[in-house]
Amino acid sequence: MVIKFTINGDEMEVDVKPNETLLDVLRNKLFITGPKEGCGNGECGACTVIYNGKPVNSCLILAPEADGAEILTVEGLTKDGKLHPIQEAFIEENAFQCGFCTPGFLMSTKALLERNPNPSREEIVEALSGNLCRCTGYDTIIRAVKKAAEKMGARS
Amino acid sequence: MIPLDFSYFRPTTLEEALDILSEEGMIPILGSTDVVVKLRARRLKPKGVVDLKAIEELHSFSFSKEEGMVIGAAVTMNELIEDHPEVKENYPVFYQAIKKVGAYQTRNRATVAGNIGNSSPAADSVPPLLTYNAKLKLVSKEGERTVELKDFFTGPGKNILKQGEIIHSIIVPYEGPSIGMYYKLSRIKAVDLSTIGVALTVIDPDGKRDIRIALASVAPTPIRVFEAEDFIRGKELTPEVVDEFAKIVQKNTSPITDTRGTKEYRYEMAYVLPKKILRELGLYEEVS
Ligand SMILES: Cc1cc2nc3c(=O)[nH]c(=O)nc-3n(C[C@H](O)[C@H](O)[C@H](O)COP(=O)(O)OP(=O)(O)OC[C@H]3O[C@@H](n4cnc5c(N)ncnc54)[C@H](O)[C@@H]3O)c2cc1C
Repeated sequence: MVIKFTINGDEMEVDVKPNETLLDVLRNKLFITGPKEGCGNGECGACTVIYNGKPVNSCLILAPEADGAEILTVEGLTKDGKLHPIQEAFIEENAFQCGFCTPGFLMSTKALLERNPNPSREEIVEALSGNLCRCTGYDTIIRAVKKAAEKMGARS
Repeated sequence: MIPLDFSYFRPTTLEEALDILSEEGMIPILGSTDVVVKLRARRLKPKGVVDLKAIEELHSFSFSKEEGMVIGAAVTMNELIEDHPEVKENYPVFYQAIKKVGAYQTRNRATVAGNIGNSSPAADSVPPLLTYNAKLKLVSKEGERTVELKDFFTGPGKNILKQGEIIHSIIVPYEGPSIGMYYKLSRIKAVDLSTIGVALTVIDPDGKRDIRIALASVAPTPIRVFEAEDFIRGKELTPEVVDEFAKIVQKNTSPITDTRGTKEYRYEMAYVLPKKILRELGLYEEVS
């Protein structure tokens, strides 16, 4: 079946099957490989995308469910070759090592800062509890989110 | 790719949905957070899935003191706790439990109707709803009926729904102001199902003080312990009374051992947690 959605600002039509997930379609049909498949069960958050304004696990969405949706992946964060302030903050704070979880963290952070531009440490931890990182121990990530909040506050 | 073939339907009216669902092998989906996991593990092999999210009337939410809270099946958990302040204000124990389901991403998709439909003994939204005397409006091609949530579950993953019958909405009566706590013990703080969940709700704490208690993950279904409630009703909360209350709660559980905990641990916690909650709510002091 053919579905239509908007991805990173571009309207697209894709032929999908009911037994494909949104993540399968993004990665294998559209070659948007920012979202990663970690657990495939909604536990690790590596596949997090912003879906109609909200962060969700794209591995738990059947592709046809996404008909009409507006989707943002890490690829859509960069504007005209310029990194998003959240991305800059993650680099400056060394908030990743292997990088596998990073696109998911960036999307969860983007959604968090949109609903709460100045989150406390506790609010950051809660908002990111669905994203697992096996390298950093999370401290640098939390620092990066704080820094991103400052940068974005400063810019607007 | 899910190693299974099935079809997908997205009806826009209830009538159309109930028509498709009346056929053998069709299952309803809402947030699909349970369904996709089970499909992938081949624990579910439907002929087709019927996505109920395009049906406008299932997205409704209302609250009034006269009618209580009516939650449409398709309302997500995050919508409940972020967009409807009435939930936190009037059903604080339910609010606390919803906040403890999965991660932020999960709650953007997960629904209470799906949590109930999945019928896991560990369903976190259920114990608080039991203490608030929740009811379910069920609909099928044959018509509709309203049932008490406490009569809905028949075993792990099992309930009274007939083929083609779905939860239309969850009705939670308003019986006055309430305080209480949902205490969820799990192996990790972030994302995990409950090893045991205890909902203790006190309706009208400054008046008739009606104490209610329900638990998850200690029996084949979530349970409410009326025997303990009957015992404590009207009594002064002395250490002896509270201890007996907790013992009655414990006696009504029948936990098993699984990956999340042993039956002995769960049994012990079914005694410890009711006391702990009453203490933390400031309703009694342990004399040492
Ligand atoms: C990472 C992760 C963490 C989780 N953590 C928790 C947790 O902490 N606590 C907890 O309780 N659960 C947890 N869950 C389980 C799940 O998210 C919840 O049970 C959720 O509420 C299911 O809702 P849904 O809308 O996604 O249901 P779906 O997956 O769409 O459906 C679930 C079941 O209900 C049936 N169903 C759907 N709609 C209806 C309807 N209208 N009427 C009748 N039956 C219907 C389906 O056929 C299916 O059997 C977790 C899941 C994941 C993936």
